[in-house]
Amino acid sequence: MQADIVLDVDALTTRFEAREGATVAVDAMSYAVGRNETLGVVGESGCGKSVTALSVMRLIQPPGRIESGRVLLEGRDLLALSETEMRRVRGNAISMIFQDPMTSLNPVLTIGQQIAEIAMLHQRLSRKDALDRAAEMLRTVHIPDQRRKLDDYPHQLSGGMRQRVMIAMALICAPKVLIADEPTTALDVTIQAQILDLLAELQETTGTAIVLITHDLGVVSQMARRVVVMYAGQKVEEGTADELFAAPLHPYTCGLMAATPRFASGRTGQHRTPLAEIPGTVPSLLTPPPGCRFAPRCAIAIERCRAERPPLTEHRPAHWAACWRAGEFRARHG
Amino acid sequence: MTDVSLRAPGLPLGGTARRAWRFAMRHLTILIGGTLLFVLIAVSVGAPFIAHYDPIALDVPHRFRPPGAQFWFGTDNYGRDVFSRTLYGGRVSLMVAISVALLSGVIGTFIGLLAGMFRWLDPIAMRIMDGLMAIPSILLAVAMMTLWRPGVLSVIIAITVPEVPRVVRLVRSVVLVIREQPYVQAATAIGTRLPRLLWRHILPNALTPIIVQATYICASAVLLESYLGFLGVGIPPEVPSWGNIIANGRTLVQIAFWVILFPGAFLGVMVLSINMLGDGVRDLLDPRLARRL
Repeated sequence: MQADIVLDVDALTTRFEAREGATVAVDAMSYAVGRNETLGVVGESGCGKSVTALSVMRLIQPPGRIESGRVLLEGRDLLALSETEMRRVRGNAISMIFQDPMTSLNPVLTIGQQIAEIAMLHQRLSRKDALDRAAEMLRTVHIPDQRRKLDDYPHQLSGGMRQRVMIAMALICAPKVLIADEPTTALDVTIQAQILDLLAELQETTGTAIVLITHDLGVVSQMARRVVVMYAGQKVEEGTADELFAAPLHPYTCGLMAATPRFASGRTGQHRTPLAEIPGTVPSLLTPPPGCRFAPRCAIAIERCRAERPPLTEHRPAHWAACWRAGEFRARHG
Repeated sequence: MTDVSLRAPGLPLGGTARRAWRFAMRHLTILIGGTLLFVLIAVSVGAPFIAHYDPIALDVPHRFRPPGAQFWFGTDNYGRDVFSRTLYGGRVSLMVAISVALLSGVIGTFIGLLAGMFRWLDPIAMRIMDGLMAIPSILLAVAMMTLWRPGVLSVIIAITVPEVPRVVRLVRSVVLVIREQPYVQAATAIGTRLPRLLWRHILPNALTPIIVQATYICASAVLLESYLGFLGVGIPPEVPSWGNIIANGRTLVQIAFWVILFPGAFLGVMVLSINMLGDGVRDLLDPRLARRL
């Protein structure tokens, strides 16, 4: 692919040990993001999107454990670093923003303290310089009246403002990679658009690679150049956003797209097609189906799907899918 | 959202006084409890300037004087001024109460933070705490009196030891909740070190229940100190503490009820005022809880 790959996740496997047995939450997951590129990671709740992100950051808590794989940040394997070295990487070379801006900020510290803390930690700035830098970052994320906002507490800001603060915190050290875990899910639509525009704008100026985790296909199609579709801890499809949404190969991707609401064309709504849901839920990872993990819910599954796990193969140029019947499924809306 | 409007510029001058008044009205328990406690502390600390009689000097000719102009609270069986003794006794009670609250608060918070943060330490620390909790402070006080010398320090230790586990349990449970909050994970995700995480992110968010608990401990320490004094295993009888005065007065109730009445009333008022203050502070610091109650 591209030459300037910043983050290269290679066959990452994360396992959770429970009393009932082990669960492989992330199964040989691989993806790569280049400078200035946005990679979309989509999938249903519980399919391992966030666990993959936390594994990359090495924030998996026991009983979870990263079992194998490599996470290369500019060629350096993060999984091989000591905890001290890793701490220097977090928030500095790679940072993360979380889904809920309401609870991701510490309620008892001013936002100035919280933003400045990172600069003091990683760039060894004095308190005064760090606060100047924090004010600068607030300007970058388009928060007006920065000096006064520094002394505000999180509860004095709206959800959109808080997410801007989170972005300011994440980008203050100019990280190489920003992992955005459902950054707009908790926000309403107009604010959502503002935040996405802001992320795109900041990427243009800083060149930060963005891993955008979401279940919102609309957000992905708007933001990402390439898309990875995850199901039950595995990558089931990968391709450029244009190609993947125009001609999805995996029945799961088709199902996700068919389940996405779109505007009805007719005034009275007689042209509306009912939303197609994917029957069933993500299988329990304690006892995954032996063949394709999607087979129990798949409309076109055959015997082979239930028995044999399909490998990830390049069906079209730069468009991979793990399915025995890739491309055969046609969603109702065509 | 009220704080936003309070911060709005352009409030008329004199708003400070009105705001203070509104605050006082809204938090009457703090106002009453705080005032009562302040008066009690003031008279105890200022005892040498207020009380004219030596609290321990014997004055047998004046024994069993009822309350009056000369002896405001009367005198006891040795002619000691009950007023002086009550005020000086307040000093002891206050010192014990504050020391116990501070000591058990600090030690308990420290152990609780660590137990809540480190999974491996949690079961060990909590079993030790369960063991400590099983020690009754009265028995501990008796043991310390026999093994060591009786005094204020022994009383403080005897009351503190069983209080520490209560704080530890509280802090640990609060930390277990806070450590799962997204902002703690967010702080870890930006590379915050553990000590800093504990000090800056977790402790401040756990502080409210700790402060409230400390006030309750303060109140119960006042009571416990008197129990110990009353049972004769507390502060040595020659030192006037409320417990000691009441213990001495209990044999005289039928002849001189005032010996027991006044220190008893002071004791009750102090416990009441500390509890009111604690309730008020809790309501102030956690408005959500206040609305629910």
